Amino acid sequence: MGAAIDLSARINLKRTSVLVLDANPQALDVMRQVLNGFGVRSVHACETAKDARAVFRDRSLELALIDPLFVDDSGFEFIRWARREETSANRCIAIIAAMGHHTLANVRAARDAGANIVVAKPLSPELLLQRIAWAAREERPFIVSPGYAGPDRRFKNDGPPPGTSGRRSDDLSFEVPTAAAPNMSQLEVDELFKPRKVAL
Amino acid sequence: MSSVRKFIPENKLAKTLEDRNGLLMTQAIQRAASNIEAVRDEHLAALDGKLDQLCLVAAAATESHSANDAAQVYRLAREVLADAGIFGLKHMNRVAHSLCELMAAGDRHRHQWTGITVHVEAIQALRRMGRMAAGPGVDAMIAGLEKISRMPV
Repeated sequence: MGAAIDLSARINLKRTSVLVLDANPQALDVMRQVLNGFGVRSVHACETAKDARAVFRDRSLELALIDPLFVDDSGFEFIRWARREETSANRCIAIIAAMGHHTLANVRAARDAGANIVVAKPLSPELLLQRIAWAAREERPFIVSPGYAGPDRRFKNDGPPPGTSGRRSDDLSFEVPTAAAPNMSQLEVDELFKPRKVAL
Repeated sequence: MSSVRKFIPENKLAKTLEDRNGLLMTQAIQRAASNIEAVRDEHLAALDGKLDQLCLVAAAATESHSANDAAQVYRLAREVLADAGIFGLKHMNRVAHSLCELMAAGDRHRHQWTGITVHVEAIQALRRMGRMAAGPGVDAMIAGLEKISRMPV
């Protein structure tokens, strides 16, 4: 996720509809300016969760930028609510949680509420565009369970890219090589579990 | 038995990438940066108002020790952090971050009220110094504040 964006690539956000929820009018305005600069024409800027819920229900959205700490942490509740809106076409859209102060507890709370990514404010245009591009490439499954609804929180580790040996000395290849020795017999496996006296 | 559903949703953002009619990433970033510059003066004036408000609320909070007032200080500190950061006021941003750390570490019974006062006074000092706020003295002051906010409550 931390990889820099390809500056020679193109992005077309003209038809993208974005919900922004932040109680700070200046932050809301900065976000609007940045998104307009990216070419977004439809920015729904909301200062209250009530307004944001109305937009979420009535409009077709592609992205939401939420400050979860905006008033009494109720942004977390908004994200949870959005992920549980079974009848809404916006339920699975990318949600970026943008926080002014990101403690470990806040980051965990945003993840467990159902945010796709957490970013720290102040958000530079480059960083925001990088995160939007990352969200556009997301292929994570969506999970709905009694305790959680949102993108799968378990990222699998595929190891270094196929055909490369990785950059770290402890990198393991994703491809499983052929066995170097025959499998152990059941007897040998049982032997491993047998308690024995240790001669000291 | 709990029921868990797992599915791959349509990524509505995916089609925005690699569109030949789209903006180059560099263009998009430049346009966004110039849009921010266009509102700089207006936003810095608003930030000034927030610093006044922070002063008043922090004074009230250290007097009342109330959870509501403390929550207001935390909210304003977060706003100052974000607003100062976006316009490159890095010292103000660092002090506001330190104040946020201090507010998040405390709770209604255990806030370090003296530490809060010191942070707010430092923010006022930076404000008075304006563009002159630089150099080892300022760095040492901020390092001291960060030490306070990292102290166990």
